[in-house]
Amino acid sequence: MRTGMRELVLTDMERAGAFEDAERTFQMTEEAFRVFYDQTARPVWLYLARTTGDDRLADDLLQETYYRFLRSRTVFDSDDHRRHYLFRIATNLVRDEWRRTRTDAIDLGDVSSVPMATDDANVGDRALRRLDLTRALGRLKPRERTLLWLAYAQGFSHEEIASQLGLRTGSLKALLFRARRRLVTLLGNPPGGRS
Amino acid sequence: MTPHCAHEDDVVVAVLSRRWDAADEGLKQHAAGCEVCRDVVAVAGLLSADQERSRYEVRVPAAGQIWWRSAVRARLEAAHAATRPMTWFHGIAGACALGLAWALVSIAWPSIRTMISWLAAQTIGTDASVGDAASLITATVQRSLPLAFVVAACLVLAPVALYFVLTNDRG
Repeated sequence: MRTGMRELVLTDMERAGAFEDAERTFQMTEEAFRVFYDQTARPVWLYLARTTGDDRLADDLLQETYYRFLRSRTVFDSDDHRRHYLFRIATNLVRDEWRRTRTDAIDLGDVSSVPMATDDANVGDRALRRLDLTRALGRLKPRERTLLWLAYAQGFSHEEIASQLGLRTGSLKALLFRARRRLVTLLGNPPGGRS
Repeated sequence: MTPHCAHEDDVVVAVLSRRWDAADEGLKQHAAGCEVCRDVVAVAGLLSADQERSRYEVRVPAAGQIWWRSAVRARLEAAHAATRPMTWFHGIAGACALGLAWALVSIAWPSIRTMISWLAAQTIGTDASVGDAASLITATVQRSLPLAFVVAACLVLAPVALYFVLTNDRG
């Protein structure tokens, strides 16, 4: 290891040595991690992408989520507990991102470039519906997006969602009701007037 | 007061398990007429369908890549943590060197002033003899030489220590 002017850089030998240390440093073996990752990576990425509205940011947050998970020393009772903890880390990272950028609305960029398959009505219809959903989610507040996704895409219980977001379980139903109402209203009244 | 429905949880379970079409007709009729359950069917259906469709299209990094990057980062953070005490040591050493140099200069200041006064008097011109002047110079140098050596060493070491402190400050 050499100490540069203001940063440490690992040599190739040290990088190779990092693998030997990894299973001692991390809370699971590489084999167990691969299985767990294959089961959870796509849902976690989707959650990050839908709540931040940024696929590239979701890539970065995905890496950070699993790094923090691997470094944690939490003992898990079950696979569900492990999965819940993983989503809790992801939720905290998304919240940190909101606070850092302090933006509520998602910038969808040039949505007119979304490809439309005009020779396949089903694919085109699905694309339109997904675009509407993406637009509507983008206009919700960050916490509303998170609530709805955790409850209805991931199927977490109210207790699990409340513990992830630091809310009281008793207030979840009211918050979910308001978030649902807003989403339904936005889906029924898209910008531009198209129904 | 927030509207609430006792059937909301049953509706959520049916939709998320993709059994809504096969659900009890009574429940489906209830949902059609209930503000709460109607929204649940709409929203839960959309989001769960989006999740289900998208997971087959989503491309995520390979597990090995995530593991490898995490391992390297953990090693890097451990290396940073290991060098942090040295950074503190360099900082303390630099501060001590500066303090020592200042203290020694303060102690030696009367001698230095005497020497300066003598040199000034000699430059302006006095009645002192050459012999007396040489003796005074010799005695002054002999007394001050160790002190001057220490002061000079500290003044040289202090910038070097500061250099290392500022160089390694980025932990």
